[in-house]
Amino acid sequence: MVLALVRRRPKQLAIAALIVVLAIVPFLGNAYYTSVLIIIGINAMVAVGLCLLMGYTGQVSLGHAAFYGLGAYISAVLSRTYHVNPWLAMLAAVVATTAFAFAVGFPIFRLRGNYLAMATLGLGIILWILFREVDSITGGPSGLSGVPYLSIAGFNFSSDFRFYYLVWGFCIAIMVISESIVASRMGRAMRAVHGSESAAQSLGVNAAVVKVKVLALSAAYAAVAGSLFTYYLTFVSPQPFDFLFSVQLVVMAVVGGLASIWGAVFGAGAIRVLSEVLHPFGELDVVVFGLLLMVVMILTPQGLVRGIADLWHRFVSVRLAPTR
Amino acid sequence: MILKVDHVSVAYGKLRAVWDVSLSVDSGEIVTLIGANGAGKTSLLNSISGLIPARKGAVYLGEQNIVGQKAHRLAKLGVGYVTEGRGIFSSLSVLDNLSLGAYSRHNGWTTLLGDVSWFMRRKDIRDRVDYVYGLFPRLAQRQRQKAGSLSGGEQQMLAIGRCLMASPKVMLLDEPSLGLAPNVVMEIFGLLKRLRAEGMAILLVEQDAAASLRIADRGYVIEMGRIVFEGTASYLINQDKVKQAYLGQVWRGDHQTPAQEEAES
Repeated sequence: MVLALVRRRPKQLAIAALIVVLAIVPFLGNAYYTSVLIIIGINAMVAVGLCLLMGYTGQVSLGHAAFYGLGAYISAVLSRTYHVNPWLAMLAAVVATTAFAFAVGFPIFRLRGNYLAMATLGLGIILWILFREVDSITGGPSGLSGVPYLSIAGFNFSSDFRFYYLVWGFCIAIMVISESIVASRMGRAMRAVHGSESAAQSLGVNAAVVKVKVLALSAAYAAVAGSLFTYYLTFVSPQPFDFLFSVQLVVMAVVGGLASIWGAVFGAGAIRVLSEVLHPFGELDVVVFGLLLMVVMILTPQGLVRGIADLWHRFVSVRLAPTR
Repeated sequence: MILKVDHVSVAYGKLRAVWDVSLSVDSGEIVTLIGANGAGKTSLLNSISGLIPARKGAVYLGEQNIVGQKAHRLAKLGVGYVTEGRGIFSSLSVLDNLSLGAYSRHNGWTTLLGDVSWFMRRKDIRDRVDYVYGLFPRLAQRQRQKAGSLSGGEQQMLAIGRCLMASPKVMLLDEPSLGLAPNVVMEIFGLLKRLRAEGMAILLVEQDAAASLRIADRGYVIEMGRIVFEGTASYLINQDKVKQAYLGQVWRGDHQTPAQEEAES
């Protein structure tokens, strides 16, 4: 019976297993695992948004760290400097970042392909420079410390244990929302824009609006993630929002298999774990990253998740084939 | 007239693609536009469907001047366009492709948690899909398959079926016979005749002049962006210049004229 379940519902089973494992990890008592998984959850939210934008809608963004950073800074500045309630600050950060994405989306999506990549790259760099240089608001290169913790009615999300569940709660909510969007009319429109913009338009899809909406949604996800990141560290500085992080986000989405929500989460996990493992290599970890990305793209161009799923299917069909 | 193109010009920069073209299509009529490569056929269709703007002139859909409107608006108003090379979404299933065809029929109240009017929309899509499957039973068998795995003929059927999902007032077809076996072309043209009988207005752009003149009621010949001949299909078939330039060796006079074929069927 178990085998039948494995054969028929591998995806659902894998998801259930993942949730169970995620729920158990903090109880292992290993603070390091918990903290790494918190960062993975935060990165995964951004990667899921990027996956909607790149994988489903086919629009490149090399500047997503900008939205992530904008969310982080708005939350930090409002809650620390202006003593706004951290939740309200987070809400404001999400609304403002989404509005910002709408505003830049219309001009930026007049561009396509390489030019779009360059423009988003430029956007990322401009915001990163602003984070560093507008000292009076952002605290410059040394950043802002003393950002308050998130709390609900006196319950502080100050320990890793508590924050872990908060982050993964948000992350799973984002994944569920994204899955339902992908399966909806909007999701079909997104994939149509990816396939052929002119064909999509002659079917009645307003491609420009679809692209901007998806950008805004992914910016909102990034702002949620950025805010949580700030409240987790109770500190914000420009360094995590640089160009390299934008590239890393793209790598996460690609490694996970661009058109897969769960893949993006898996990709975020794989890349984060990898960079922890590669820590001893110091500066050379970038080289190893590049090599790994090449190997993944050559061996499993559909991404790691699909590659593993294919292997699994082969295994299941050989070993678990029903006997006649 | 359902579709009336009135002195339309199209240009890319300084390069003139379509020059002062007028034509019309009525419901229950197949009108063909024939011409060589680069004569401006696709440019004209692109501008009628709103994908590229017309420099001059007007396009009437019914009474309404639709020139200058964007493609996605025109799809809502009833202009169906089957692009050259079919434009199907190969990574999507046949059913998803068809569902996208009905996109313009509905309003997009998408919330974060899904669609508000999901139920009504789903029923409407199912009704339209059933209609299309009635026309192309082969698509029904393959509805869960990726569209990219279909044969060329099936992809063309899918492209036409997807266009019909929106129940357009006029259909623009760009070279539906391209790269298809003759019997498949006959099947698709047979369907166009059936749609004509149902009252559809069809503008059929073709390089295969012999085949398209055989099913068309009227035709226009376009050369270097200008209409050089127009008239009923039987008139065009008998024009010496048309014979020489477009019917060539294939046309030996032993084919049936459209009128004869009509009488037989």
